[in-house]
Amino acid sequence: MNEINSLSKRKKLEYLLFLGFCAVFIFITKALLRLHLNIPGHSMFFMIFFLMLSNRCVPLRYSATICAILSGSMAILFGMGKGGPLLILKFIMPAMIIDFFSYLIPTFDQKYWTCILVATLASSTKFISSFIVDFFLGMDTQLIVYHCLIKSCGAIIFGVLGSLMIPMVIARLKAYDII
Amino acid sequence: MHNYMAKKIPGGVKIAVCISLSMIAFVTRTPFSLAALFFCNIVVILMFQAPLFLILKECRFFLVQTVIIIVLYILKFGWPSGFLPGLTLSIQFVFFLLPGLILSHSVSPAQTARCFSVILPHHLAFVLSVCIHFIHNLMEEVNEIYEAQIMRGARITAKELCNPANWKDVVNCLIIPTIIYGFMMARQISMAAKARKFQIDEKRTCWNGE
Repeated sequence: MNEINSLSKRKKLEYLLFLGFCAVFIFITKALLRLHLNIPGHSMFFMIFFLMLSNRCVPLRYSATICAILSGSMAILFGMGKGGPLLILKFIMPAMIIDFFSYLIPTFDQKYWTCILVATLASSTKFISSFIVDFFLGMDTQLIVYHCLIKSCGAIIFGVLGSLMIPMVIARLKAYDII
Repeated sequence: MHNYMAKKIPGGVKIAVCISLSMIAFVTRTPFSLAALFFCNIVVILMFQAPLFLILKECRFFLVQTVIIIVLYILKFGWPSGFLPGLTLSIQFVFFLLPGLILSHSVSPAQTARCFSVILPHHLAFVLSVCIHFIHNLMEEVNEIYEAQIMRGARITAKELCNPANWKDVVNCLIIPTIIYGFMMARQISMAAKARKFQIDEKRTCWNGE
């Protein structure tokens, strides 16, 4: 019994560490894509990809949210973004949507249209998080709406593009017996 | 004496200094303030006894980034007018990421875990500190996979990726091996942690360094 407990604990730690590595990849790609190119939402490409990957690869409850908490903590600790402590919302909200839809559609990774649907909904949370951040910065309400619409449109496009890699990657990982 | 001073600086102070330096990089715009920030980074490297050779070696990632930023600025604003803003931004970008490198080379995982555990649950703090510590290994492995795949004919060089038909090779030849390596590394670390009775014994087992 003790052996079983220790094995499950080791497995849990292994899964948590994999989530940590996904969080590191999100953080690194977000930092490297920070080019000030005026292309809104381009960092959502890898964020949605790694959040969906963590949700599909790790059978822990709220795995994407845990990954988002880790990457958000890294982003705050290294002073990335203009949101300060609210920055973590930008990571957590898409992850919560992904976790929620993985319960509603447990095999969403097998079809492209379900991936697109989940990615669209997850990426559209950028509107809420951007609205909160802009609001606290004291921006005019009408400008906030325009600004957030532009940002969320870009985020949805890039998020959907990132999610299109998921069916192929998951199928390959299953073929290699990794998950 | 110098080494003794580096060891005496608490991990929390090192993290606070590096985060502050990272955040200051966002507000530095003039050449004078960038030079001052560069001086501050050098002082911090010397004070924290961070290995300068390793940090310079890892800065090659920034070189590619710098070239991309400058080229994009020149394409957008033209040759003379786009160069200086592009260079300033790329230097800002280096100064934003450099304190993170200094931090990861000068603070032990145990110190990092202790500081993170103030704001995060114990296990997540451990996972976060381990992952930050292994960033170098991950990046080196990604680089090795990239070079090995190019040698065996994968169409993933910067020039070949201009053709969208080659994008599929990035997933097959780079992303999937990287994910598999991430899984393997997580398994090895968890086995090592289990061998040291992490999470099993109530009493902590650690080497006190004496």
